[in-house]
Formats: sequence, C-alpha cells, structure tokens
Amino acid sequence: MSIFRELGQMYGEIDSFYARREFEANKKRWAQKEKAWARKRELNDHAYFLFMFTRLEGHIRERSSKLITSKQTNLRQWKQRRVWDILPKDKDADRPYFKDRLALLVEKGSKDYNTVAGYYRLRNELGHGGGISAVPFLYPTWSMNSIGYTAFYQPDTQGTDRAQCAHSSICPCSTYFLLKKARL
Amino acid sequence: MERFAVGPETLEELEVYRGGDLVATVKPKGLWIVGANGRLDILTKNGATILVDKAQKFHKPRWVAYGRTNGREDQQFDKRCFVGLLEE
Repeated sequence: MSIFRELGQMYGEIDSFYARREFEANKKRWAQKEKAWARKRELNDHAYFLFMFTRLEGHIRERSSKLITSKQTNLRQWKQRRVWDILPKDKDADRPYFKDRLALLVEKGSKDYNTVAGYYRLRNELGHGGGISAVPFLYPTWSMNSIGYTAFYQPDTQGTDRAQCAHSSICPCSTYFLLKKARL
Repeated sequence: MERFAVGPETLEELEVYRGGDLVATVKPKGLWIVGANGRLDILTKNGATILVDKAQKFHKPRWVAYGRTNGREDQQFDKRCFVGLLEE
C-alpha cells in the first residue's frame, strides 16, 4: 500500500470517528459540542494535508537534488555546467528554495507547477494559523433537483424552510428536509 | 478568504429527517479548497461523506463523493448515492 493511500485511510478513520460524534451532538442539539467536534475535524484536515505535503516536498527535494547531481557530473563543458555548479546538490540544503526546486522539475507557470505552488502557499498559510479555503469567485452549487429530487417547500410552524420528501407531495416515506442557517 | 478580505457568509445547512428522526445533515464546509471548487459534508450516524466539486473552473459543477463505505474512493454523487447514504 502506498504511503498516500495509507495516510488517506488513517485520515478517514479519524474523520469518521469525529463525524459520528458531530452528528450525534447535532441530533441532541448540543451546539457547543457539535462545534467542538467540527473543529476537531477541521484540524484533522489541516494535519493530514500538512503530513501529505511534507511527503510531496521530500519527493521534490530528492528529485531536484538528483537532477543537480546528474548535471554537475555529466555535463562536460564548463559553459553548460556552470549554472548547475553553483547549486547545492544536498536535498536538505536551504537553497534552492522549494519553488525553485519545483521549477527545475516542471515548467514554471505550467498547470502542475501552479497546483503544487498553490499547495505550498496553503501549507505556509496553515503553518501561520490560516484556513484551508481560498477566495471564492463563483459559488459551486448543489441542489436536490440536480440529483433527481423534487422539493415541495412549505414553511413549517417555526418559520423554517421545509421541503417535503424526495418522491412526491403525497409520498408516505416520511422523509423531509429542513434548512438551517450556518456561517461559512 | 482572509487575504482578500472576503468576510464570512451565512449559508444554509440541510437536515434530512425520516419519521421525525434526524438521519443526515448536509453542511457547507468551504470554497476553493485544496483540489476542488468547494466542499460539502454529509453527516450521518455512520460518519461523514465528503462531497467536492471537481469541475474545471467556470464549468458546470461535477460533484464527487468520498465516503467511508467505498474506502474513500470517489464516486459520482447522484440520487442513488444520496439515497444509499440515507438508508445505511
């Protein structure tokens, strides 16, 4: 099993544990506990992202270091080799900086480069206490209709938006949907 | 969002009841998360299924579900998937 798959599995086990408790707390209307379990899940997300990124960072350091060593060893002409000679070949060296190492392996500005550079920025933001969400410029939307449900909205006695079940307005399955406000 | 001074916004959470019993909660989690355009979580008594929009930017949303029942592998989120979660 690959390390990423293994980490993914461990992440899932911990997330499920917290999620079950978050759900139970909501069911019992224990708002503070629900919030606390949600926070634990969020921190677990951050921790595993950092854990996985560290693995990726190690891989990029190793590959870039091998490339530098190879160029320093195999290029015979000094004019070609000189730009490589000034780079430290040790994978644990502070320089080249991470994004420069990345640019040795994939074209700067390419899709792969931008993806990894984006992960790197998030890694730094998380390290300074930031969140994992970025600026929105359009909202992704998901509607019950999009997965084949029909909603029959009717305000309930508490003034909440309630949608009668999925199937039809007279369906006996007794499923209904309730909309609550939440801060994102 | 903090970097671009985008403030928090109120969105709706969806609760699904069956016979008066809460069976699932759908919670919006975030926009432009790592690797996706946005994330919603579906919480049930068995844990969480994570829904992410994997569409290309400015394309029609493509919701994919990652859950514990399928070993965290992805599957297209559709009615069958949703009903499956409610009936577990």
